[in-house]
Amino acid sequence: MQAFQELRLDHISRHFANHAALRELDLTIRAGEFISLLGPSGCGKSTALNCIAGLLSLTSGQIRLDNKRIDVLPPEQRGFGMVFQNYALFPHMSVRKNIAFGLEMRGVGRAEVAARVEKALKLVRLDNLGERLPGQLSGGQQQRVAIARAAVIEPPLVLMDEPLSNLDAKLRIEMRHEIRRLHNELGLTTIYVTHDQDEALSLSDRIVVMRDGVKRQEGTPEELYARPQTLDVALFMGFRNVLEVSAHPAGPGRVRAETAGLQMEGVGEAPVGPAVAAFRPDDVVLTDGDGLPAQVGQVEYCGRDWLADLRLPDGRVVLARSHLALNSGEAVRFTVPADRVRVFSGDAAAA
Amino acid sequence: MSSTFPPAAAVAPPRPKIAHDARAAGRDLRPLLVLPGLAVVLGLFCYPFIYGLILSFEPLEGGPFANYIAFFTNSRLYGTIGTTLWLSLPITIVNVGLALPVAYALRKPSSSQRIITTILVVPITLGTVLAAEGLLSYLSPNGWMNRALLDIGLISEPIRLLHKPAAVIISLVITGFPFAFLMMLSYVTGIDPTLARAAATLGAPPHRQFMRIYLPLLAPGIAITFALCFVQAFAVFPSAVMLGAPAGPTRVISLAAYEAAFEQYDYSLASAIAIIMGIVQLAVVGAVLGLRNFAYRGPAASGKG
Amino acid sequence: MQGLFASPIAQKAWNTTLFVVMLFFLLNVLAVIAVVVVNSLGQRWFGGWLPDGFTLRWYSTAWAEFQLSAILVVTAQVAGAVVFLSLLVGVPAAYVMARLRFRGKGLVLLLFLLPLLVPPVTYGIPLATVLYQMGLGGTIWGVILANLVPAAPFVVLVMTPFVEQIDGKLEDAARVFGAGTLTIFRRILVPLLLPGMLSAGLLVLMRTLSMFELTFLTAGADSQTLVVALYYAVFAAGVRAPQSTDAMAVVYMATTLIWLLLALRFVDPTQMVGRVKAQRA
Repeated sequence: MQAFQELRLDHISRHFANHAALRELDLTIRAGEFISLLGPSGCGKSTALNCIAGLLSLTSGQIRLDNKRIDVLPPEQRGFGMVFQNYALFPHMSVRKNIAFGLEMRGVGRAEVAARVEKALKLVRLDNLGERLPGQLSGGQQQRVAIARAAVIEPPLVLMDEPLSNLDAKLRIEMRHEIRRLHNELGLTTIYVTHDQDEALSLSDRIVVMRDGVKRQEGTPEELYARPQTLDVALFMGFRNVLEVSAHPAGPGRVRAETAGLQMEGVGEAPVGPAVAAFRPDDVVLTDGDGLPAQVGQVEYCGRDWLADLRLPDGRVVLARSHLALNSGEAVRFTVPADRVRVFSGDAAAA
Repeated sequence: MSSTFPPAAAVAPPRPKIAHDARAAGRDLRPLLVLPGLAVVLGLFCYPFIYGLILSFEPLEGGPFANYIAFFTNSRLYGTIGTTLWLSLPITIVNVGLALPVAYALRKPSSSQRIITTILVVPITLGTVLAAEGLLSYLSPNGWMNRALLDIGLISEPIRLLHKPAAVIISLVITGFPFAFLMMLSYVTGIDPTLARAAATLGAPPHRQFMRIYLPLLAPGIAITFALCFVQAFAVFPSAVMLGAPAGPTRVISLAAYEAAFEQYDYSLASAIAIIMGIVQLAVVGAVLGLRNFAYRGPAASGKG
Repeated sequence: MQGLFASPIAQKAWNTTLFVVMLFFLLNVLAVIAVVVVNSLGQRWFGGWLPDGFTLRWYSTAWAEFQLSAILVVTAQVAGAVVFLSLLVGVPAAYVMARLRFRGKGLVLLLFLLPLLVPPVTYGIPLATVLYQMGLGGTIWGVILANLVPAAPFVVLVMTPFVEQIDGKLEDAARVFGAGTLTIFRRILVPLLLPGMLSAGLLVLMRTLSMFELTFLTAGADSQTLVVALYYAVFAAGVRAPQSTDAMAVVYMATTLIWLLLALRFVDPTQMVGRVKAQRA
């Protein structure tokens, strides 16, 4: 395995005819980490991945592997492994020959190729399917071949472009587990592109949330989950309740948010004036005593809990998850713990 | 009666008949819709073929094989096979051989691809007769081709191309190449470009992307294009008469069949010649498809680690 | 442009070679067509790049000598009939091929493909023989029937993907609401298939206009289409000036190219050779 320390994206930009897909992205990826590029479609995450792979050229900026500049190299000379969204398995070659392809391109000897391919097949648990053609495999199996093909060449970096989006929900969760297991077992460095927040949270050591070609926030899954720094990142991470408030400082890092007679406390970067408060439905706590009054609207039974619309006196709706059964029409009171409310300056439309 | 849990192996329930849905149980007349089309093909294509086949064994004089014997003993007749093959095979190799690299170079959508495709549709639309008509003026001693060559200084006297095989060849390229190109383009663009990208990330340089990924996937398409182009060229008729020397060097087999039918009124012989024509075409097409199977199996089977 | 060579110089050299070859080819093709047009407009042309003078009189000469008006009528009748009949016969057949499964479907498919794979001369000779036996040889109906042989399968080939694209559930829904097969065709399928039928119809039209061999073998003196009349005109040289033949050729070109221009708005050029790209939903 080629040892390397870091891959650096220096101010990389990629423009197309009428829009800028990437705008001066800076990112450093350290050896051994599993980093996800997360964002809605059109945010530039796939573009970034394709630029790293060499399938797209940069409009400006540089990509460096340790100190070597690689953005001038064509993809076949960069030596990264890549797993494509639609797998891109060669339909006319057997599973074995697909996996062997990268090794053959590198001139590895026949005996070694055979041995490494066998090992790879075992690793992805496809031992007895080596002679099948891709067309004869299921989606999950094809995915595993694609991963084996990229991993067998023992690349410094493995690039994955939404590899699970074509699989059904149950398979996705299984394969997620497999991908992380392989990453750990083989000591890979992985750059993973996805629009699925759950995937990113469960797989990554570090997440980079992107939007409109720029980095919005970078951090560990816990950081992003609990402490999104902008409203759009918060929305993406599941903060489904957004209330327009007016904010007043209330101590270090704390903010008092007022709206239509209701008050809550939250954390934020000391915004003052018109602001938005965001919090998760899971963090809504129903109380018997103090709390904000609301009336229960529509209720959805979710098995383990209920998801309910709580209608505030001024008509706005807050989504809440409750472990207790709720009935439509009930009057309730609720609070949200202050450290679960994020307050951002500006208005909701600015997200 | 004892109850066992899990239940002991029971007698398998009787196999249900194939489920009849409402349509089938009623009258599904929809398959009948294919009958008119089939009637056209059976009545106007299959029947004449069979009729012709039988007719070819009922010559005007002599035993059942008299037509075929006459064909293969008369050099003016069997020679047409060689003449026609000598014209059509090289042409097809050139047409397909040129169409493949050009189609590959134009595999990505671009303005060049659109422009070239649009222009190349024109000769196909206009057909062989018009191409031959145009070439009669274009290739004449005073025509633009000779004029241009003289002006450039490549030649000192006009070259005489008309009424020679060369003119027929040129006409076949003009109508044959666009056809080959359009077919190859549709095959090339039908291959997922992500495959080449995947190969690139695995270390394959451009020429290996072509040889290991595109070419094997194109092999069936190349074979089919070759087969179709060949049968078209082998059946050449108006160009051979208008531009060639139908008495001799460009006496093609379709001409021999035409003469038998409409000048000698020997429909039996004409049918025999048409049958022979069909057999030769079938033989070449079969050889091409067989060759492709052979060549294709080669790379895919080798390299077993 | 990424292609075959790793080294940019080699790649550029290769691209340039291909470009030059293609340019040479295209220029020659355009020139061959242009020379017909130029000649038809020229007074006299013995030497030099262009004729001595320009005139339109060859067109009126050709019109009279070759009885172009009668020929155009025949051509229109033949083409119109072939388009109509091939669509009438081919669309339902395409429906069956796209939707239904039955034993022998492979054989039926082969039967529909054969007339497109076998060149017209090869089956034209036996076909002409049969038509003459039936007394249809030399008549306009003989020509129409002969041209129907490649046209109907072509419609089947082109229309099948169009039918496949229409959700089968639409028909189920119609049946639930009480529609029978014929009604479904009339009210649902045909309206949805209209664009495809337009494409197929235009393609059949163009192919019939330029179809030489079949018409040549089955036509009589008063049932020739324009392309066949053009062929005969070339051999009537001597009495008639070549310019008037070229004028006729230009008329032929105009009749075909008009439809081509129209067709290119709806049709992918590769469909002209009968290869229809399977469109993935």
